[in-house]
Amino acid sequence: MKIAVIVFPGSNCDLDIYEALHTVCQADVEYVPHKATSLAGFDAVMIPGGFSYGDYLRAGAIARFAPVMKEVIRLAKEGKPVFGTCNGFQILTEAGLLPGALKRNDSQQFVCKTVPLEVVNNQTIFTKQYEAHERINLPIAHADGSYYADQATLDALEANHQVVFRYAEENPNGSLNNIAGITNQAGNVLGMMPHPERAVEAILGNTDGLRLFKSLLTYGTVKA
Amino acid sequence: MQVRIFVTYKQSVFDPQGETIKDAIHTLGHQEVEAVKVGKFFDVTFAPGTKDVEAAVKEIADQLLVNFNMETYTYQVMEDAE
Amino acid sequence: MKAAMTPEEIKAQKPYLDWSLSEREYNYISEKLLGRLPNYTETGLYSAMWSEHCSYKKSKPVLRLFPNKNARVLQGPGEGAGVVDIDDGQAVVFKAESHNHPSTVEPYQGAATGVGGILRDIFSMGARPIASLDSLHFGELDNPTMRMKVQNTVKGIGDYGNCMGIPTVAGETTFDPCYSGNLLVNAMSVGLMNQKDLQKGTANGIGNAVMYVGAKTGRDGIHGATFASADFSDENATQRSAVQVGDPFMEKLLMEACLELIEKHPDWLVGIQDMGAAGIVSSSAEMASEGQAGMDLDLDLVPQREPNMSAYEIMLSESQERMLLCVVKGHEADVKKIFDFYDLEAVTIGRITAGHNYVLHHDGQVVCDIPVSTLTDDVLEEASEEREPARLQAAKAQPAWQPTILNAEATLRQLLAQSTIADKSAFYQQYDSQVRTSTVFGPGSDAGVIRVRGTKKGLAMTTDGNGRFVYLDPEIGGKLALTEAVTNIIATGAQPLAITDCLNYGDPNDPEIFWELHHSVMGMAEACRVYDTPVISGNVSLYNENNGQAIHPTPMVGMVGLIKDINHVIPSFAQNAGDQVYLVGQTGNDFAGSELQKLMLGDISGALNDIDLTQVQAYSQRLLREMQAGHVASAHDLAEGGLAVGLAETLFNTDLGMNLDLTHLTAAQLFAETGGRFIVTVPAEATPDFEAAMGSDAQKVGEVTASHWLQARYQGGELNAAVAELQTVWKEAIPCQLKSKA
Repeated sequence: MKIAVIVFPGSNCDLDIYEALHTVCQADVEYVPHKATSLAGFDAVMIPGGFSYGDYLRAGAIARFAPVMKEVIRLAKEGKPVFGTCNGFQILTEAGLLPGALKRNDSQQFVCKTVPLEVVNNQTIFTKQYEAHERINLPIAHADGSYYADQATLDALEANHQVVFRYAEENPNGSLNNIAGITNQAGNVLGMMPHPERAVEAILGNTDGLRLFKSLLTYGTVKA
Repeated sequence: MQVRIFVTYKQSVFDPQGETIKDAIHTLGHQEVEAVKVGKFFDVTFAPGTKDVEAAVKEIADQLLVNFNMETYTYQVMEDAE
Repeated sequence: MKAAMTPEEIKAQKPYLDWSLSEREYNYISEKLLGRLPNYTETGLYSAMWSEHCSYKKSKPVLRLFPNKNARVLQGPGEGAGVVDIDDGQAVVFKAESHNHPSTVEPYQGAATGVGGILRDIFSMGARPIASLDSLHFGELDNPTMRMKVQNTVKGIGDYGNCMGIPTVAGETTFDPCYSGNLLVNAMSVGLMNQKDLQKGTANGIGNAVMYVGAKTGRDGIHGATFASADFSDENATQRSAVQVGDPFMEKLLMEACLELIEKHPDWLVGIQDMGAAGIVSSSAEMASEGQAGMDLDLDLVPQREPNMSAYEIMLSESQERMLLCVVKGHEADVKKIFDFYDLEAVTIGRITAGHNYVLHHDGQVVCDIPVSTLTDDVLEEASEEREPARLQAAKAQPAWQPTILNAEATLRQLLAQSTIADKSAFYQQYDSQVRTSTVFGPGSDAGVIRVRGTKKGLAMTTDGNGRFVYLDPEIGGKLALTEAVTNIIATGAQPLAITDCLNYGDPNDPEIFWELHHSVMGMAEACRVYDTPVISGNVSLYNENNGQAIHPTPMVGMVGLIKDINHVIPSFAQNAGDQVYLVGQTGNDFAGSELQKLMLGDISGALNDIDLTQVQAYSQRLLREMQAGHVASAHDLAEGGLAVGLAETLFNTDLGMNLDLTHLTAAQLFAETGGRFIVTVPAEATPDFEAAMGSDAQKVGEVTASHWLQARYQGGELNAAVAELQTVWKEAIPCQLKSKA
């Protein structure tokens, strides 16, 4: 499985996802700049966190116009895995690959800390290695992470088991239904505010995110 | 020609910043203030003689300035600057 | 635009006095250096370059007291940042800088651009920034204005650093009324580089290009440098508009572009420097002076954001996110191509010339033609009068204050709620402390620890400044500032390498304040020698006053240490029930300047006891070897609030407790702030080795227990506290104050 890590101007967790896949998981991974016009040969796409285009206008709003996004949308439509964390989640909603939107945190403040999550759906290609309803801890670091969608959309997300992660104790940002991460209806596009790539090495104190990448890579092996 | 485009949260979307500001106004003593909504505006200047400004405004708002999942907009054609 | 004054009008009307250039300096420049009257632009350039902020004309004699070399130092003061060898061809690069004056005026932008400026200093050396730290000193949180300033400062630091993707991993935040009218906002950045990529701020080679890269120039922050060299009063409110606005997105692109150029095409580049204080003039003049070259710039080519800017405004603008490069002739287009990819401006604005003159063209006219060294090297150093502050003699004559503690647990709770001691997570959770996924210990630890990717190494880093001790005794206070930094670094298992500093003081024209500066630097310099931590970079911030009221003299020490094997990093929290607890270092009756004194008396007073630096260094090094040998489970240095607070902190966020025999200490001594102490926990099986190595410098005081209680017997009493309750007090103090409506 060959994986692309998209680098937008202002992305800053690109290194973290790259290292998690390359160094920790020994996966085949490459950086792809935002001006690239082809993702030919790639089997999966990672959209990293950060502040693409400075988060000016709205977080993720401008990145969706970058040339590479046409290709990201093509891969998503083909059913290939597309994963976005933090700003990557915001970009995926702005690009229409995931429903809803991410609002400013209710506290109006950026918040960086580790929070407990519930793995709500362990049947996705990203979460197969977690137990059903397992409690895990992952870091969050965002100012615009309050998930919002209208009631009909929320009902559909719940009915289709598209809610993959939920904040398990306190809700750190005001997300509706305590949503921390969702997939599209087909299940191949996952967006989440928490950072699994920050929790893959014991020396940094947390390995709860590792199985997300392992799940994806195992899926890739089975497919290939 | 200048157009001012106002973007706000939809009526149904919780606006915590507006609530916080309302609380601050109340501590100033203005209990008569019932609600505050926060939004942003964009002053967009078109070249003189631009045709169909309103269609352009609509497209700019729809495609870029507004996230219709949570936001809505209005606009106002400004008097030409001196 | 109104016509500029003629040289004769300048001589007669003396506008330079408002720009902080003295008549003596003006006369020296016109009579001795130029042999003619300087024109309007030239006068403006001199006033900026000869300001204390750019020239250190007052503080230089004092700064010479600092050691700045040892076997590891690759670059000392004078460049963008200092550089220290960390083996394997790698180097750590670091510097701290104050942004006190802009932050006092506009806390959000002042703090944000402070972070931006120090990051540029790091990547201009060829290093990638890997961590940020801060040192913040505010007035008390008891009024809404100060609470707003605190929140905005924190937001400014967070918004800039978070967007840049540089983790903020450590820092300090203290509160004292002396900072109410003049905040201290010191930012430190640490970078990592391969030694082969080391860059300097230099320009030479006739015909080589001077290239301007980054954001456009506007009228922001003109005279920021001189502004930083004058004190605040309510009258000079007009000066208070000189605040720059930061754009971290632009800076992120600028950093990536500059690092790409440095790492991939070093042969295209002669030198690179940040446009910091005094903007284009300071960066270009310093580069030309360093390269002993002449320089010819055409200001009409400078990218400008506003129309009709004068030469003087263009040269002195402190618009942010700009860098100046000296590029080998013929590679201008290559360099431009790199910056084009990031949608950044890159414009050749001039050339290196033969000779040593600094020539500026604007609107088709030569507006400046002066020897470059007159801007940078010929500045008149100023001898300053100094006099021991009267309060120091008076304090020595008084008997030492001896507190009486009736209820140690109640005192401990009160201290844990003091804003300087209480949990700061309400602030540091607004900083991304984990981006770049190398943060081993983030905020809340004794020192931040970053692992060096691809190696076994780690870097520990801390900022420490305690104005209360320096106020009571500048020399001993200076020694204590270094000692606190050393103990913070050692506590993580790191060997201290070197320091950077921000020297924050009041108006140096006051002989008592100059004396404080001089004597605190004496104390710091002595400690730097004993600890073998030379000063490799730093800055001086004077005139920290409001309406004639000076801050406590507050030198901030930023220290970096090297961990040889990151697997031996030592946490500051207790680890396992059954581990033995040791107190390292002697405890004395050190109450002057303590948090206890502030709590009980409402103010600080008295004389400090001296500290034996050699002894601290000896046992700290032995402790470090024990850590490296795997004999230590946790270590925490003791600072504000003394032993009792340190013990509680060691147990917070664990489910452990301690049972301790402290009967060699009085109740008051539980809160004494004697410097150079650690609380260390040792696995039972390692105690023989540990005790043999530490001897009488470590005293066994008890053990870690599985019950979440802090139990300690002391002379004449017993402390018995539920740790969870102590932690609640500690955790809720600041959020509670921030929410207060009063």
